Amino acid sequence: MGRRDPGRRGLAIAEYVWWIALASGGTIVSALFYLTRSPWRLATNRIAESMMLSAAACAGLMPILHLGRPRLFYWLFPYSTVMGVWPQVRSPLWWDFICLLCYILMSIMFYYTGLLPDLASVRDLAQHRRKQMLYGILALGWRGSAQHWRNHRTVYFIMCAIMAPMVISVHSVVGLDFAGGLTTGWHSTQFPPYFFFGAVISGMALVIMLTIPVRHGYGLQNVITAHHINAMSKVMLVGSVMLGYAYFWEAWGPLYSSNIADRTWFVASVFGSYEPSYWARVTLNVIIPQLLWLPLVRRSEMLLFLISLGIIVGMWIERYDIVIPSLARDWIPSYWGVYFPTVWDWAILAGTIGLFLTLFLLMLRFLPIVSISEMREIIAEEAAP
Amino acid sequence: VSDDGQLGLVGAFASPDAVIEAARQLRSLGFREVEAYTPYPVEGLDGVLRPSRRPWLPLIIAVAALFGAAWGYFIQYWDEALNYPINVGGRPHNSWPAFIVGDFEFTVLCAVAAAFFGLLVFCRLPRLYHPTLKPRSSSVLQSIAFSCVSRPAIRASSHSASAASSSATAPSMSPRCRDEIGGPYRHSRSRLRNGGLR
Repeated sequence: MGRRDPGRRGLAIAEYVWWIALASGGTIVSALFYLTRSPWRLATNRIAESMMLSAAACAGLMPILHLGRPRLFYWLFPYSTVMGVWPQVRSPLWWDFICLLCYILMSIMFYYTGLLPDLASVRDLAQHRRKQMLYGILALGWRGSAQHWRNHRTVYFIMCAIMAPMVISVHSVVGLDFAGGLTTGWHSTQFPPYFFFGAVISGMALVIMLTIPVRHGYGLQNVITAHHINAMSKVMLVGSVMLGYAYFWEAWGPLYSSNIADRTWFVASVFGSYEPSYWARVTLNVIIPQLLWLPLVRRSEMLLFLISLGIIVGMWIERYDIVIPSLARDWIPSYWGVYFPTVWDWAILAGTIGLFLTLFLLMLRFLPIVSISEMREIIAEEAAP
Repeated sequence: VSDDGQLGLVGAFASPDAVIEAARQLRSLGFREVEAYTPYPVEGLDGVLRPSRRPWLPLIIAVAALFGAAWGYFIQYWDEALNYPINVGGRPHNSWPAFIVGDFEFTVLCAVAAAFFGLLVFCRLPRLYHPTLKPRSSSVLQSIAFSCVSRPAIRASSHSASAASSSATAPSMSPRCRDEIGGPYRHSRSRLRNGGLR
């Protein structure tokens, strides 16, 4: 990996933040919009949750790969060792570890709870013995009795009410990692909300980007309608406006304060060696998504797909732009330098994208991609007078 | 379970309102072990079947969350202040503001774990075989139909069991179809093969 001065964190940390933001989008769709009772959520929440788990797996790998000795990552666990060494829990890096760990564990339980009735439906509809046994075991014997549904409803609501603030906390703590460091450009109180805004826009962009092909590939045009895509693109537009606000404060801080190091860093990233990446992210994340104000653009799937792709690339550049230039323009000029990723950095990026697609496509193939029970409920409600 | 090894009677209904009505009538006839199976949650159905049940699950989740908060704080306090104290820039060993993040994570993890495992315990899952799972392959429970199983209680006399069978066909309840379920597994499977269960 290309971890060397001045880019001592390489791309691993930038990509970790990128992946965890993409994962957060899934939780935002399925938990936050469950609480607001948004009708458009139902058709898309399973795609969003599958995406969340796949992206969280990639996010979890990144900090481990970034460690000097990846095989010793378990030293971060607060467990009783014979060495008597404990992790430093006052460090934001440990907060980050515990947040990610809890987030992945909770996401799995949340996903499985939502999936349970649908696994039972697949079991009941299965024709072959092997399939009946596989889904029979996975469904754990769910029968859909009144008692089951009552417990399920209670638990699902409580889980959503917990996951919604949880997802905000996960990305805010990732922001705190940076804010807790004294490095120029990072030591700012705006980071936690700034990162969460990024999670909203990039997560929604990935949900839209995956929903459009899934909808056509599986012939789900009547289930995931233009109305759903339109609603999600509006949320993405809100994310873009919020991110523009964060970019404004990112520029305001160094220019208004009298901190020479901060100002040097900012000028270097806007007009210096990192000029292309700064303006690329502003264009892709804030300027181009403003097209979404036009209903014509929100209705065009091709344009939406391209804008979402642009946002995902733009968010990758933003993470790169947060991590790398700050280290390249640190307090002492003797630290200064120019960093460029090596072939191994790109290979790891390609590898995580491959892991994400593998996991996501496996879920698409073997598990219900639209919540069956919730769709039945809607159909029955619409059929009733 | 009655003398002939039957577990109960099942009737399929066309709409959620019909199930609720049937459940209400069976309750008023004195049946206590009545269960309804639906492909999606039906509002108020469980309240009709078990009117006096208290919702323990949210309380258990709240207790688990409090336990997680206490446990999470204790681990961090014990680590930083008691077992492995390190002086970092003169900051206090019990730096509670720095423990908040870890504490929050432990709290929500315990709450969600209690919710997940509580759901399984309260639903009596996993239970991979159950007599009512059998008629499903006949698509009674899978179509947008609703079933209501009446299991005559052990205490119930044979008289009330026959009342159940007659009431299940009564016009006021009007199930789309009805059948008996249960008995030994092999028995029901052979009946299935013969097309006994619709």
